[in-house]
Amino acid sequence: MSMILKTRSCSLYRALGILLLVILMFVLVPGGAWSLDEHAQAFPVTIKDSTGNTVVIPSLPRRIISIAPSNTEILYALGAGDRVIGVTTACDYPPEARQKEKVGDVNLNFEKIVSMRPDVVLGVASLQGAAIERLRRLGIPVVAVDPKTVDEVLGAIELVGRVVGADRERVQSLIKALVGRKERVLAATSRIPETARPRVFVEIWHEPLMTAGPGTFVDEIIQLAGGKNIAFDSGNPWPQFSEELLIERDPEIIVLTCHNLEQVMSEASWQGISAVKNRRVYEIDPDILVRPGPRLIDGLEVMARYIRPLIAVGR
Amino acid sequence: MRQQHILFYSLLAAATFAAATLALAMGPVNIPYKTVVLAVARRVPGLGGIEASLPPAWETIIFDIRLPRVLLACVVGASLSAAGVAFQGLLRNPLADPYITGVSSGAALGAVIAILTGIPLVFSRYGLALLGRATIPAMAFLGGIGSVYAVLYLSRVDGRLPVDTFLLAGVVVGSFLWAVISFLMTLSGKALHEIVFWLMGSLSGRGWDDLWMALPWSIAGVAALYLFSRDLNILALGEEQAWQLGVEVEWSKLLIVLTSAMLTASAVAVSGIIGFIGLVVPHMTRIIVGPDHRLLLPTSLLSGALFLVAADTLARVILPPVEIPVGVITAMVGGPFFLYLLKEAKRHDTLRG
Repeated sequence: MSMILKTRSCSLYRALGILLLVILMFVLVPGGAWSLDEHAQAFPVTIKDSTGNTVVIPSLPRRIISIAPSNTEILYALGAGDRVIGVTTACDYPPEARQKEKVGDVNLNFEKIVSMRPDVVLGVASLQGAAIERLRRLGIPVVAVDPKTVDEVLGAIELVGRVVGADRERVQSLIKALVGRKERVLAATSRIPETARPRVFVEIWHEPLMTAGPGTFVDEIIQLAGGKNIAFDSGNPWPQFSEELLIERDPEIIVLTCHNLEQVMSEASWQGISAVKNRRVYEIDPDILVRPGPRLIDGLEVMARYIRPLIAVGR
Repeated sequence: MRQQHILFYSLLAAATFAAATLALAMGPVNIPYKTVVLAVARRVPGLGGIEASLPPAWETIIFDIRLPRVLLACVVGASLSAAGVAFQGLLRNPLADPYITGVSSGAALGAVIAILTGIPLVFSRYGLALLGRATIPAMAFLGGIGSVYAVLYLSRVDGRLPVDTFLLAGVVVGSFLWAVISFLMTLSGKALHEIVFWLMGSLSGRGWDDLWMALPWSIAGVAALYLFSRDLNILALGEEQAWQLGVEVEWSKLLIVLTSAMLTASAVAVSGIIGFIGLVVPHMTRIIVGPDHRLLLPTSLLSGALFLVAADTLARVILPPVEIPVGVITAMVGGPFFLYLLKEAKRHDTLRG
């Protein structure tokens, strides 16, 4: 009983606090464009992140740690790269990010993160739930994004922009550019009927054969780019895919993510597949298909380039 | 007695053949049974003139995916079971299986190194795709053989091979190699999935190349073991008795170990570590046909083939389009069945006794 009371009063205090902060923000933050000098005035910022947590960033974060490659890419795209003090070993883009201090790989080095005293840590909710919880209990402000679709990625970019106090103009122009590029692809593909869409297979791994199913950016990008994912009916997002089904569904385009073009082209049982026969097998940098950052639009454009010729020819 | 054996052999052979044909007709892609039978019959020499129109995709699925895989299941199942019979007989230890000598960990280490270094991709990059495909099995085979040599080297005392030292050396070398593998896995990054998949054992994605790689070793090894089946019978009485009966004990032991290790290594090289078959199939057949190796070896061979074909078919069709590692099926189906047989055998023993 006392527990319940306690949580209740807790949330009451929190709600009051948030209300107070919101009022303060309205009082303290003047309107108009934010220039770099005015960053300080935009804070404190209160954010409700994708884990439902409310995070208050008291002042412009100068020590940012990104624990996901996608967040690192977003930070650099927003011009906040110089304020990033820690990344993971997987954060390889842009190349400058590789020079930053490493705070772990899939497993994070919590001691190191704490000792670096970050102003904010940026994570991905669905992949790093436990790590994010742990960091919060260690008293570190963590903002978690969790985009599931291309449009949500744009939302995540905006959120990260607010968290780190990026120049508002810059955030808006980046998002506008990304939306524009997406719309240009869609203008050519959105009206293709289901039956006229070329069949696409994206190979995530060769042995065992794995692909990307519904619920992944890969699947959405294929759809947006005018194609049809042959793994449309797989129950999980990264399924093992049967070679038999691959041959029966006969993809017209195969996209490889492991730089193994020669291996695939010489696979004896794949010689009858349309994509192999017509040499429509392509190698792609998997990061632009799976990382929820600004380069996802690159992935969309590349995929559209593979698919476009097949729509024009004889359909 | 003799006639009984012939009947049993033919029953087993027929069951294996039936399972293999059934396996050809089952899979995530639904091809009617009749179509499969007709398609296969059309290719049998002397049965020409059978008309069957088959979509090319189905042709590929039946002859380039399912057929080599079913045949490979037979070869691997037979090899592992034969090696299991030999090790259990030789070591007079019911817990012995083909992996007891550290073959599996040695082979696994070879495969893991091949996967991590990316040698297969390098080969295929330079137009040597066939060589690339052979790299993992070849490295696994060498690793397996290498570990057996290490175990033999460590456990031989004055030209003799004491069974208990041999067992211990096998276990220790195995654990050591597993530690190396675990260490490599922590550094492996994206390839981890491929390594785990290989370690669990699977026939998924295997083709004719793999069959041709495994078959010669399998035939040679099984034939050699059969020649030793009388020695195995005598060795089962104890080494001293065997010596008195004129068996070159140390020499036979060494050759049997090497042959069985070679059989195991060739099977592991193309299929990864498929557990349970080499342990359980020999026991099951021993319960049915008795301990005479001249009978036990061929029947285990056939049962092993039958068992793995059936398990692999289940692995393919239970959860389409996902394939379950076949080792999971062998243990989950084979385990309870084995316990049942064991219990029955004990009950009959007590009744008789």
